[in-house]
Amino acid sequence: MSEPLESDPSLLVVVLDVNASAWSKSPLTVGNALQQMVIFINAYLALKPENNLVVLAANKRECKCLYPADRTTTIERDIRVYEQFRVVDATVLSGVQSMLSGAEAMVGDPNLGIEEGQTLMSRALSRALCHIHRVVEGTKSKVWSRMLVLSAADDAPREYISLMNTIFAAQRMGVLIDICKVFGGDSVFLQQAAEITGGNYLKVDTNGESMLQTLMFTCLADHYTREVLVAPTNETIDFRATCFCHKRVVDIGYVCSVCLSIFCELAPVCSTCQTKFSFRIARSESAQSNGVLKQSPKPAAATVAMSSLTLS
Amino acid sequence: MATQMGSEEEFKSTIAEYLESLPAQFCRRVFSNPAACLAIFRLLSTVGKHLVMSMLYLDSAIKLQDVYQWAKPDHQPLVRSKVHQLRKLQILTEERGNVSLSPVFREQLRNALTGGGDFSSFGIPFTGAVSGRVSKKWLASYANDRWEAILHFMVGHSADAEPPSESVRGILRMSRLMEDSAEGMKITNSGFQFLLQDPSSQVWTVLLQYLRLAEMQEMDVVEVLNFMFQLVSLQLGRPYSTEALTRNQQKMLAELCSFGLLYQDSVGAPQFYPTHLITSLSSGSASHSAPLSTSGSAATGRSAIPAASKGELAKPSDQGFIILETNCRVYAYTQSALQIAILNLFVHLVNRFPNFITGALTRDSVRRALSRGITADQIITFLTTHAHPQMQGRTPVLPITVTDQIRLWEQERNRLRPTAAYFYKDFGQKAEYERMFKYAQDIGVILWASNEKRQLVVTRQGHAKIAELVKSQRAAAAAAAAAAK
Repeated sequence: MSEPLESDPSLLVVVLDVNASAWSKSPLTVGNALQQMVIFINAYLALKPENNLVVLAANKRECKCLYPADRTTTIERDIRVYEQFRVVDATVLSGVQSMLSGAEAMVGDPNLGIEEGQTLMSRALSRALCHIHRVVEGTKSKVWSRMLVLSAADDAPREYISLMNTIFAAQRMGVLIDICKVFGGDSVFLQQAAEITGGNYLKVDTNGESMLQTLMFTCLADHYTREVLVAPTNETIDFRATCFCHKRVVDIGYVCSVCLSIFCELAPVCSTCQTKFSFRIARSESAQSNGVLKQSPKPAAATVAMSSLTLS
Repeated sequence: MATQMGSEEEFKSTIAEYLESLPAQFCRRVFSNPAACLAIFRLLSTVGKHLVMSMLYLDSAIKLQDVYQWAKPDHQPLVRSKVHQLRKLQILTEERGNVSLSPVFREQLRNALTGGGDFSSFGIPFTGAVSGRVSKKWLASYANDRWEAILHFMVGHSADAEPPSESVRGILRMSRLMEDSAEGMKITNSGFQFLLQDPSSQVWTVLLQYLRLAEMQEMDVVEVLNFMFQLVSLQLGRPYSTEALTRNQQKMLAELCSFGLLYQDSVGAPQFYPTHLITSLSSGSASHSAPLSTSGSAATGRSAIPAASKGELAKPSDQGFIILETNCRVYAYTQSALQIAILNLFVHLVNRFPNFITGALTRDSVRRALSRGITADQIITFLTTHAHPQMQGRTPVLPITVTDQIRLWEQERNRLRPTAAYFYKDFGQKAEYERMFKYAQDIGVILWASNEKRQLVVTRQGHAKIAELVKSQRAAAAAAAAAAK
């Protein structure tokens, strides 16, 4: 891959997590976070006129493309704002509002469960990749693309596989993924997304006042600037994986020796590749080389195995 | 200034240089306007922009050393130079080793991003009734006609058209793109270079000249600058009100209209329209990208839109019409007298058909261009930006053999470099020669020397010193001889 040049335009896909129930627990309100995000987006657009922007919003049920919008929204003329910014800001804000109010209408839904606080990130990320692909294919000159995910919700373990596949696809495409986690615990999956693609993982402190400054400092840099300036580093990254059978996040699990699927408990047949395991040898724990089922010694090993699976 | 022709980047830096040359209180006044801050911000380099953005929402000053630490070790000098540049522009202020953004600049750039402050700085839209005839397309053809008329005038093909207004000619004269001669105005070498640039560089040149003109006429430079920065942030195809403009700005408006950068229905009309020539300045190099599609409807199929709107705004001749073969032959699909005149600067034209000309790059034709001060890079850039769509898809766009050849022809001209020198010969004794040679070598003034022929060429500065040495030696020798007698 060629070196990024100073003049190359970039493409930024912003993925907003608009999960109402997740935000309701956050000390930083959605409105406040959005305002800061909009300023960040304006700053991004101010950097280069050629800079391209896509804004996606995702919650538990759906993933919408807010900007560029499919329909023309008539926006009140506000002469105080630079034209280019106003269109984006208004579309994004109104889009998020409609999604939030749409989610509120669903509150009475009996299907609401424990998973309500989770957001379908893999859907949003893969949609973002599709956008990036379309733009990159459609332009003759080199476009450097990256993503910024504003995440509030917890990980959804059941989408582990699809999320990891998306991340590896992004890695292949040279797309950086920056993560800004607003509150709650660290997101295991998104942390890996940032690590694998070479982006930054940011955890904004609880009151969220400094979110904008943090974003400006780390996530505004394009590929060229990242070559020049030092990026903040994360020392500890949680590389745990989820099992394929119950979608639990596991430290230690069983790995299929044929397809490298991960399981949290013993199974006679691999659900992914239908290999039948021979239990006698495994249970004897003779640790012979023909043991089909073996225990993963370290949590990291599971992810390493996964990556080789997806990349091959 | 007029001789400093080059890429668009160079022009941006000259505008930046112009800002640097302004005294501090001027800078503060320029910064007091969000549109100006945004426009200045866009003139900065990528790293510079990032430094500004990193500090924009920092409330306290930080150590200069810490800023340097942001850079990776091998990029430290780059970041240092950018910091220096920001300080020269008065964007960064330093106090006892701590740096922060200039308070005015910080506030107004924040305003530009969040929407606040002086609301007229991005232009006041005109709300009254407007005639329906002004569309984007119409504005584009109007601007192109006006601009090309000026370029035509420069190349001297304007016999049938009326010459441009006095103010246009004044600026052309002042920037030394043209000069007065016995039979009217004549294009200069820098004028030829000007013709080869892409339109946005040309517009920058004109604006910069306008600033100088304003200075000479003792207009308020800040007013002119603010208006200029406001203009580049306007929206294409929309009428703007002239109400809030000062008298100087009204005057400037009228003069920029004669360049085709702006359009007014009539002199003194209450509204004006920016054309794509000026709005595209804020959306990158105009030769490649069409004015940015920012409206919600246009942005849906982003990749498809730029091409479409480009076709709408630019004339066919701007789309790329030149085919260059590896054997240096040039085929150009154009009927524009202007384009043909420009090509004629460095191409040996052979055939002309109704919509098509053929020619070849020859050593003589390229050397003719070079002798007019046009550089090889300018020729190559021109050919690249105007390459036919069929060539655009290839990398590199132009055949390497031809670009190399053009560069070689340029180097050929630079083989000889005249230096004023003195030639020493006919040394009587070998020792004398060697003493002189050694001395000249020590002070480093030898241009050429031949030990066999006992000949020596030294620079003019060296001659003075050697002459002194010889004189003192002769005097010493004479004294010694007198003493021996």
